[in-house]
Amino acid sequence: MNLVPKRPNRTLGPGHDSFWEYCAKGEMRLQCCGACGKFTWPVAQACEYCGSAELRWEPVSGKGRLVSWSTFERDYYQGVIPIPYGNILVELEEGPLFLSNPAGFTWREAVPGMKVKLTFLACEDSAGRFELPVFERV
Amino acid sequence: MKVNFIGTRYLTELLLPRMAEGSAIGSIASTAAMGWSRVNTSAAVLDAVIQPIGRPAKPEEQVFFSGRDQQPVRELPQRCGNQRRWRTPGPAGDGPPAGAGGMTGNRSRVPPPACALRDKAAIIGIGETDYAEDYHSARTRAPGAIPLTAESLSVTAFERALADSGLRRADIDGISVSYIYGGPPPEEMASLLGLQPRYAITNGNIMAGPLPAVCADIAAGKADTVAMIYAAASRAIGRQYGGQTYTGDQAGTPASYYYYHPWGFSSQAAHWAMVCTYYLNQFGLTEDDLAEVAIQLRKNALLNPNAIMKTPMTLADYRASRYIVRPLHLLDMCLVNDGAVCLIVRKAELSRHLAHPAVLVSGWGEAEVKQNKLHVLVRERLRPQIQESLAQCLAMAGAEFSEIGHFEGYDAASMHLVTQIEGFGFAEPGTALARFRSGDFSPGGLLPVNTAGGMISGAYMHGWNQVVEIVRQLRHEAGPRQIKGLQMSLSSLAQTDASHPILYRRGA
Repeated sequence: MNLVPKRPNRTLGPGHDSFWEYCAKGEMRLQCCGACGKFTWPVAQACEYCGSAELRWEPVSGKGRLVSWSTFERDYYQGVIPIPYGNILVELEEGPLFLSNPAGFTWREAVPGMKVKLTFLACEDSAGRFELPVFERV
Repeated sequence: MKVNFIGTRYLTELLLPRMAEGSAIGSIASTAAMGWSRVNTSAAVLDAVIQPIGRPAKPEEQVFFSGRDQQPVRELPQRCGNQRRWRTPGPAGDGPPAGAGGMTGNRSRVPPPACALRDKAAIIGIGETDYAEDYHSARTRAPGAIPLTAESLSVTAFERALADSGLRRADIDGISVSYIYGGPPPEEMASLLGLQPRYAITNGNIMAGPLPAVCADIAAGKADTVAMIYAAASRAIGRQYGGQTYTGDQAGTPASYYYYHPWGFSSQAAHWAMVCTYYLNQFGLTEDDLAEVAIQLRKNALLNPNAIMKTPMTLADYRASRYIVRPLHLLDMCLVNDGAVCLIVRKAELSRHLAHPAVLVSGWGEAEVKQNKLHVLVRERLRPQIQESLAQCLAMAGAEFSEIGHFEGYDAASMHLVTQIEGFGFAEPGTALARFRSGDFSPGGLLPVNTAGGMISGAYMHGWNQVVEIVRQLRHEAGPRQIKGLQMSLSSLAQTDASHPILYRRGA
């Protein structure tokens, strides 16, 4: 088995597991409300807009634009992720904002509104291997 | 002699039924027990002797990026078996279990603003610990130094507040405790302070809900004079914000924003960095512009003898300070220090002709982001919620926005303060940094802000020290940083996903 980077633990459990199971198949699905049609993220029990519990896992295109970013220069995770590393906030085509990591670029190349697309990074946490959705430049 | 004999015998008799076979009691009496008969000893003493105290509570500001937050209802006091004591149901000081609901901690809910509650209670006594001295002694870790505890800090703050108020101990008939990292239940704290309250509550932790909650209870007749105690012994246990769990938290509770851990995202610094990048881009501003906030707060701190930071800060100092989460530097972030604050809050009609002018609590408001959280927090910077809560607050107080002459905003980070200044409308969006540079928010400016140095350069007392500063300013006792003729102040001391302004007036 190849070594993959370690990451801090995911939140797992009903609903959360579904998200990561789709990621393991190389696709990103988010909960979409059957009543109002809006996407909800992070994982919820009911639609954050209309309260309906009729949430379905719908695929998203993985295309988005860069809204904001930041770079950790302080080691909050005791070396689990080597610093510095970036965080980005991506507005997905379907609407929700998704907090992630940049793949293959840093804050130096980041531009507001820049187009990005989904890719996956093989990682490992205390529950095992998983595919982490991250974003690269188009 | 009488005290020593009766006190020792009383305690011995209480302990006897709990002793194991073959154990013994050694009695040492001293005059430190003076006044014992005024203290409600029975169960409180036993609890203190037999059970370790200190129950961790989670800072409630850590809630917002964590998915769906629960809003626990504030625990209401209930009579327990002993008719002289109040007890809060459940484990005092504990919040709901951390988990899918997020890190809400022991959240104190703000009572609904109502005109009937306007000016019904006043702050008439203030007490703080020696923030600067305690900070430096904790950092130097002097050999043999005893770590500060919630108990020792609270006693200091309370005694100072009592002396400041000019009241007698027996005048205090209520107690409210708000701990960040745990502390004894309110009944035990009352015993420690020599109080016999008819009202005793555990009341959230950071300064969002606790003050309105007590004002509403005073208006309802539950108590006339309440000692509100806040304590944080964070540095003593080596707390740090961020990471998989809080360092120093033995329970292993996940840190804030835990949902984003796999992407390495946690901490207040991370949130404000994300907000800040968007803000600087939106208005074409730079890190040097942002530096104006920290530089002004440091100037203010230099006028406050109890402020922790005591050296002037230049732009070069700011640039040279390390990044925590880029674009935020160390000097953009609040301090972490130990301390306690006591506010003595009294029914307004009993608050005239005391040692100092009373500071009336005139109004408050609350609004929280419920939907599309990341969008509202990053792109709208909570402005709709801040505006909504301000409207509630002004309506309750019967005040005009233009009457506000001083603002104390929760500065967990420089960017946090900017969002509030612009959100309340003290500056148009995108202009706050330029107005810091021009001196508009300095103690002599158009709207003085965080005049004691805030939490970035003054002390990180989760907003409580900022209420103390408001009291000093409205009493006209703030010395070299006094705002001339000040009559009304606004505080905004809250979580990052909610706005809780409180409006204060100088009493007649």
